[in-house]
Amino acid sequence: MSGRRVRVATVPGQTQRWGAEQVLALAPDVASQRVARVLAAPSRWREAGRGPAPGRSEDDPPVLWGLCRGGAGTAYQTIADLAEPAYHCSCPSRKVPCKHALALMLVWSGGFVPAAEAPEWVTGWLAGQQERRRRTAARAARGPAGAGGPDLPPSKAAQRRAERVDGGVEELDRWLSDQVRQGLAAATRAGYAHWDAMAARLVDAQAPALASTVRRLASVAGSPDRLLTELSLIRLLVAGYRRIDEVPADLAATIRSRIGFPVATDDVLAGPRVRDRWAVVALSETYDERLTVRRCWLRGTATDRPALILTFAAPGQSVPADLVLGTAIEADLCFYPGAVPLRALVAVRHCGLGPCPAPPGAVAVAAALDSYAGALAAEPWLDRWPVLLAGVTPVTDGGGRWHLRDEAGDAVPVEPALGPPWRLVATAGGGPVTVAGEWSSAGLRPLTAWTDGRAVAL
Amino acid sequence: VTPWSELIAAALVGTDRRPLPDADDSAVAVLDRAAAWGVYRRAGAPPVRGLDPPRPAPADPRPVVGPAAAERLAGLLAAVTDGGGRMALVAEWLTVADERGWRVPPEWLPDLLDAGRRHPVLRPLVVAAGGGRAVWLAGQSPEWTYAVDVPPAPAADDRDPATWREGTTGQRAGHLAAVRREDAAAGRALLAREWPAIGPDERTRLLPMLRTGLGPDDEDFLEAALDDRRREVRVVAADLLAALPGSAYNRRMADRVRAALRPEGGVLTVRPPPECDASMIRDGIVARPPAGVGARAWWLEQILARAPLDAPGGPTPELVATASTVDDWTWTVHRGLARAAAVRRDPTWAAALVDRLAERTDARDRHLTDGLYGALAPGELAGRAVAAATAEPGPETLRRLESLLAHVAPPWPDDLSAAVAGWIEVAARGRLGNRLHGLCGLAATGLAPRWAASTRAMADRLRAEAPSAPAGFALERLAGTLEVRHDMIEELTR
Repeated sequence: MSGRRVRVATVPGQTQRWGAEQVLALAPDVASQRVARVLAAPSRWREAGRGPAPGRSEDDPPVLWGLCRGGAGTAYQTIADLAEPAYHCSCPSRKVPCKHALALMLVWSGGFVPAAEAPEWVTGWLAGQQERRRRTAARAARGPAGAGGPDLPPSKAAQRRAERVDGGVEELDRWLSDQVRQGLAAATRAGYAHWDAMAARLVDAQAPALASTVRRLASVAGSPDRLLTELSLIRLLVAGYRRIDEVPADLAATIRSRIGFPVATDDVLAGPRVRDRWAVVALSETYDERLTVRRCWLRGTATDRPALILTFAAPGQSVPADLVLGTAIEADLCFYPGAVPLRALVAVRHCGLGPCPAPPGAVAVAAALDSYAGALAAEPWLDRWPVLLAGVTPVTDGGGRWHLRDEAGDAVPVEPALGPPWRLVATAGGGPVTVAGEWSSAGLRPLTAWTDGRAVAL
Repeated sequence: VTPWSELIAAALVGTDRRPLPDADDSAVAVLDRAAAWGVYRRAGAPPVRGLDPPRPAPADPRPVVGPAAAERLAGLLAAVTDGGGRMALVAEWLTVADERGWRVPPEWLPDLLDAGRRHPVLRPLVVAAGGGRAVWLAGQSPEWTYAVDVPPAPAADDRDPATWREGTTGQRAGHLAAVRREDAAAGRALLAREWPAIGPDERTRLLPMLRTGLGPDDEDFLEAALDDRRREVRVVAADLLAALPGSAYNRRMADRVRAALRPEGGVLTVRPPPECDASMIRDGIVARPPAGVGARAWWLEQILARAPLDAPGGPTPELVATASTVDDWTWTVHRGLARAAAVRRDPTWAAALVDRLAERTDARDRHLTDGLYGALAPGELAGRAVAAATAEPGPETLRRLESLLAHVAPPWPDDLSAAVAGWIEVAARGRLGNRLHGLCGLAATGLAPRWAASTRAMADRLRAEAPSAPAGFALERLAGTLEVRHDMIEELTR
């Protein structure tokens, strides 16, 4: 384990330039990437320079600036503060970062931006940014404005909502019993409409998370074994909600979020902060009910703690991609309350992205399954658990089912619905690699593999 | 504790019909007990044991390409999936990467193998640049077996006798070709044994497999096939016999040519066959001419197209190129010989005929000219392309240039690149401006990437002079593609 940590360490006093792929990962869309490549010709840039951001050290990623030649003799003023990252450009584009900022970073990535004294238009913008950050921090320190504390009586709206949810949960409980009373054989043959009808009533009852869970039953309905398990876990949630005043506060928070009570961002940010150097170990995107959900799995390099940053985007829009695979950020995270806190918000970034060739804390298969069992004991509804497996090799069992096998001979199945994990097979080449993925009852979804000191998205 | 199987059984038929013996509310009890079981089964799932470690991929000492080059490949592969327009760039990327001793990032091998499945030209490149790991990976999916076969080693089931007995016609054809590769006589014997029993459709599909390992010993079998009842079978047999040097078929055709053409004192006297007799029909001559063609001209053209070009006593390239007689038969002779030169890929005959054919504007002659370009020696072809690119721009030159350049292997020689670039710039200013997309498309792969800067300058000049010139877009696209290729090679050089 110590050997791996040594490789992570960066050379002190020397800022590492990013690779082109790391820069392009920040692009809001593919079109921007393409244009940025064209604009990244050094001949298009004048007075380009780099320097440390105010209040930061030489080791931190720098601030870049330059003038990019546009059409008809104009030039755009472009600034990229890589530590944040934050961008400024005088061009009319509303994309962040715009093609000019991307191109400037590409030019820097190619080694064509010299160290220089920042001109006034750069220092002015940096000062404004600093002031804005100071105000935000002050607001956060004051705590969530206007939110009622736990001692205050709940508002009328909250009370009305609680009554509606109570009604919906009671109806759901009767519905669950009816399924089992009448027999699942009928339900396994029922179409989507059967599940959607109950889900729609739960949406009306303002229990959206519960509604999605019921809607997802359609995907397991073909297997009586899985269907009964999922129904019973919903029933467990209903039973937990009935006793919400008796269970520990963390578990109560989990139950409330699984029902679909919203948690205010300000409340999360007012909670305790966990500072660490967080390695970005895996990224995945899913399409859930007309939303693109980007799941970014972090792992604290000192705390060895997993964290999940969720970002959402409407279809057609790109998800802001400021966390880049294979890098790490020094940051304070605030976790959403729960029995197994995973989802978190970035409260403060102390330093921007730095390279992180291989994350520490990878374990063998048995230890990963133990950690899952431990998490499940605290949170029985847990659907995805992040695992970081050390020295695993993709193997087939002869029947075409793929597994990841560690050096002790223990193996976990790869989620069959994903098809053969060819990218992982090719990357591993029949040898052991470190793999990050999401573990669920369906199997492992491999997301990242590390080879030759590179993080490979799968 | 109620066993899980009992809970499932009760839940499936319904607790109304199958209540639990020890519960007041069986439905609630089933759910509560199933929850305990469910969490227990998930949390307690043991690791899978007893799987053998896989055969590792062979070591590849070459370094993996840099991040910029890898990113480029990823972008190109995405484009291949979209429409295939950038396949040529993927091919170039692989070629350059292999030449410079780089290894493909392993995670892209599955996409490359998929691309090779759709585009056979990529296959040898994928195997070369992908190295041992590509072949190792390809061996694990039936969809990629082509990569395992690229060093010619037929798939094992191809040579399985059961394939020949029970396979589909396509599988039988593959089996026959595989046997012919190893032992031509054994393959012929296999086909001859079955021949009386198989129907005409299958004969038509199987007979062409004799082209693999074709030799004089096949002649008797093929000669017999000329008497087959199905026309398609006879055509295949005639084509194979024509490809067999010294065959009786070729001698018969040469005799017919000698009877029809008399080279005497630098003049070619033409006497086309007076009738289409049974032996001509047996040798694959079609008696009925297409509309607008005289019957005797049609027979002569076919005889010339099927006869060997080097038969003693026949016409020579010098004679045909210089012969001064221009009578009604000249074009027929040229067409027939041009067809033979294109099929047999004879550069000398192609050179002798191509300029005469290129003057013609008939669609059939244009098609023949194109075939002759493909048969020309590379130097001859490039020389003619340079000549075309120094001609006055016009629709006819454009057409000829496109048809010539399609056959010149990239990268084009310097003098040709310069001539084409110059021609494009002149043409872009004129009335051909909106018809240059095809030519620019050819130049995008034919010009060496170092022409990127001058092409960009050309595009900028045109934009400045005539901002709405229709050629601007084609030129900018050309410059853009050349720049991509230039950058791509730079990335693989560092």
